[in-house]
Amino acid sequence: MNGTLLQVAGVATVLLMLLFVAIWVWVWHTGHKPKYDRLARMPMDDAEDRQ
Amino acid sequence: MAKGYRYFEAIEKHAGKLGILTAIMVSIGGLAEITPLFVEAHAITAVEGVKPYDPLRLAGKDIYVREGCYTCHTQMIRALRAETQRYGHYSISSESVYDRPHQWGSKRTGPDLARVGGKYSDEWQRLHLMDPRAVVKASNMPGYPWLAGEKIDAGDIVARMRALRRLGDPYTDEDLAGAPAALEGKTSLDALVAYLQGLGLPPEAQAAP
Amino acid sequence: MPNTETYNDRVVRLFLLAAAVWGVVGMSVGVFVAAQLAWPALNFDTPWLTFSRLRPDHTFGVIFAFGGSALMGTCYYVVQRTGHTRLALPKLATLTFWGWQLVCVLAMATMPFGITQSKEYAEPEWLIDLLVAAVWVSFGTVFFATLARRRIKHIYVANWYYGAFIIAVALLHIVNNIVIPVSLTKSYPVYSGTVDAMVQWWYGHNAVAFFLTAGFLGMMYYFVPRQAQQPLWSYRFSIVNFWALISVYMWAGSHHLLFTALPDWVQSVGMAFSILLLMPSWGSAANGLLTFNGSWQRVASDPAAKFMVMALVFYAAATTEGSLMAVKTVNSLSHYTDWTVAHVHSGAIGWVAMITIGSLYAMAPRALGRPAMHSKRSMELHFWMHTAGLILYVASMWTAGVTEGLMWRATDANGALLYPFIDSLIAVRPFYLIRFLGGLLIVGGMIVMAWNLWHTAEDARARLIKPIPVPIPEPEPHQVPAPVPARA
Ligand code: HEM
Ligand code: HEM
Repeated sequence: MNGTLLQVAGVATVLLMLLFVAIWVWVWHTGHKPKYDRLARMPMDDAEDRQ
Repeated sequence: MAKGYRYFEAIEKHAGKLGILTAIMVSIGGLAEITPLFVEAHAITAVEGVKPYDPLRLAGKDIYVREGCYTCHTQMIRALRAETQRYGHYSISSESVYDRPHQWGSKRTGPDLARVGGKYSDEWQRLHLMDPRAVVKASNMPGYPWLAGEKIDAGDIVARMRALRRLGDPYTDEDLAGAPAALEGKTSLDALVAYLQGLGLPPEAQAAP
Repeated sequence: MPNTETYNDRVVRLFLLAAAVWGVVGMSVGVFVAAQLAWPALNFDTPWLTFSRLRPDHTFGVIFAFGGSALMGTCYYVVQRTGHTRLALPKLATLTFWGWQLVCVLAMATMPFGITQSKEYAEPEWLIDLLVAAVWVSFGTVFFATLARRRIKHIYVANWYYGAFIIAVALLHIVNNIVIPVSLTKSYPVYSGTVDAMVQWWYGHNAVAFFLTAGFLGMMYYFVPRQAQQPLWSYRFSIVNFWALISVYMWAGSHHLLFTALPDWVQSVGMAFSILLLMPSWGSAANGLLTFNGSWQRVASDPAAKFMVMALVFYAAATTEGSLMAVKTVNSLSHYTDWTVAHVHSGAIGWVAMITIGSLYAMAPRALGRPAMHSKRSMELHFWMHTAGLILYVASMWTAGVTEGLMWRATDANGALLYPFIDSLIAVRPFYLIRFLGGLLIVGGMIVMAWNLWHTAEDARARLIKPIPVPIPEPEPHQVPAPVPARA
């Protein structure tokens, strides 16, 4: 592969890594734990249980 | 609520955005890997003299596909010592430019066939396809005896070659016109053996009748 | 506010039935082709009974017919439950059922007659491919339209995985199947040689990623908490894993073509990303397993949960093995051997089949209007048959694969090859026999399941099932914003 393509691939990889770290930070940072806790219970919360 | 939360919700709550983002993410990897290959594909031209399959071998290749030989045999010698020792020079890109689709395979229940051409006699190949255990006692390859009794449909071959020409394979008008005659009286077995005997041969040898 | 809406479980039941039937069919073909590798005379010199024509029937039958039906059925079930809404476009949903069954029957009936593209996992010819595309788009439409009319604001993570599965499979299917037809039953792909190989394995690998992994993770993220009766261990973790999985997987396809004529840099990228894949893979496996934490006593007495736990263990194992096999030095030994087949089946029989069976056992009584499956003891029996068969299969093929790999490269003191090819086949023949026996156990288990489902479906067959009303979500104290009011 020629140099330009290699550079593009390199930059793309770094960008993806950054994006990934950003998602990680985002998910942990914004402190909406109550909502997550509720969502984690969602599968247990269907009609059958309430009848 | 924190400001970031709003953006986050925007993704999570909207099916459409979630879908589009997903599509973008999954596309990046594929595009990044395949686009350069397309660019390079222009550079991979056939080695000087490698011609597209002649009618009989083309018919043979389509029988190889139909019977599913690729489920047990590879046609891709890897660049590893043990492989080149057993099967010959490692396979290169330009050798498979006329293979639609490629027949590299993924499992060797039987040996690699990329350079099997000329390794055995035509007679051996026939016998082996009819009844593998008659020549290799311990083989678990199934027999394909029906191939011998099956005439090749010479009318079909022109349509096939024309389709390949549309895809860029350099068949000439004469090639097309002469195709039905080349298949006159041939069976599926003849075609498959011709295909196998051409595999991996240098171009000059392939041109020989 | 009165709510008269009920869940549409009819189409779910249809898919449930189809999954059970195709499971038995697809795996029986697997056992038959396994027997042929041990006793080659079993094709009786008949074209359509020959190994090389039937092998694609096995792979299509288990992946697309069995796996596909189970995925579509559970997807329709889960998207309704987690959105507190009835399925949108019910007629189209029913059409996706019949359309998919038509696709499966056509594919399974044409491939043994030599109508094939010879591209692994994409063998059916162009006409069937068009039908697949049409059904798939309809499936996506029903799914996203249902998401759009949900009453719960947030989209539960299982749906993210189902959504990614639908979108990615559509993309892969279309790109990989661009062909020029010659006749109704024959076509040539527009790609050739190396490019075709790369497109094919980009497809093949991501069919594993998005069909056999993402789709079934969707199943896992709903049915595991449901069956464990515990909240998902970490919801955050599931989100991070989702984005990591979908963005990394696509890069890894070239690990199927190491040391081949593919350019070196593509091979290296594939290897690097395959190792990165360990993270989301273990992440999801851990998330699922830890969800059972604190209810292990329940698992001991619940065969459905046992299937799920074992599935997650094998998911972790198969992905670890996969990442290892993507390392060039390991792949130089394992490629082309039965080690690959062992890896495939620890993923397929361990992860895919077991998470499906566990989820079907969890879903069936609810969708069929029963308090529980007809026979719990036969579920227990199924679990042990399946597990024993799986271990026989994987252990025997792993041994066979390593044996082949070592024999193919063995040299004597002078550097000459030690074994002719046929010696390696003779060496692994006994393992083919063991694999066949393992397969028999697994199919036996599937028949037990089919029998059990048949009896659980008694009410359904007598049309006695009362549809289940969709609950109206209660506003929760911390919910921002408040839930959408129910439509009457
Ligand atoms: C009863 C259980 C099963 C048996 C006996 C069985 C047997 C086989 C056999 C004999 C092969 C051919 C191997 C070769 O060419 O050497 C095969 C291939 C394959 N099977 Fe199965 N199978 C079973 C279950 C499954 C399930 C449940 C799945 C997927 C959900 C599956 C997916 C596959 C795939 C993807 C391949 C192709 C592997 C490759 O190309 O490397 N199988 N199976
Ligand atoms: C992190 C996850 C995984 C990685 C990195 C991975 C990697 C690999 C590698 C390196 C191969 C061998 C290719 C070759 O030498 O021919 C392979 C084959 C395969 N894997 Fe995986 N694998 C993973 C998970 C899975 C899972 C969960 C399944 C589920 C069923 C699966 C199914 C398959 C299939 C069907 C093939 C055979 C393709 C063929 O040759 O026909 N893999 N995988």
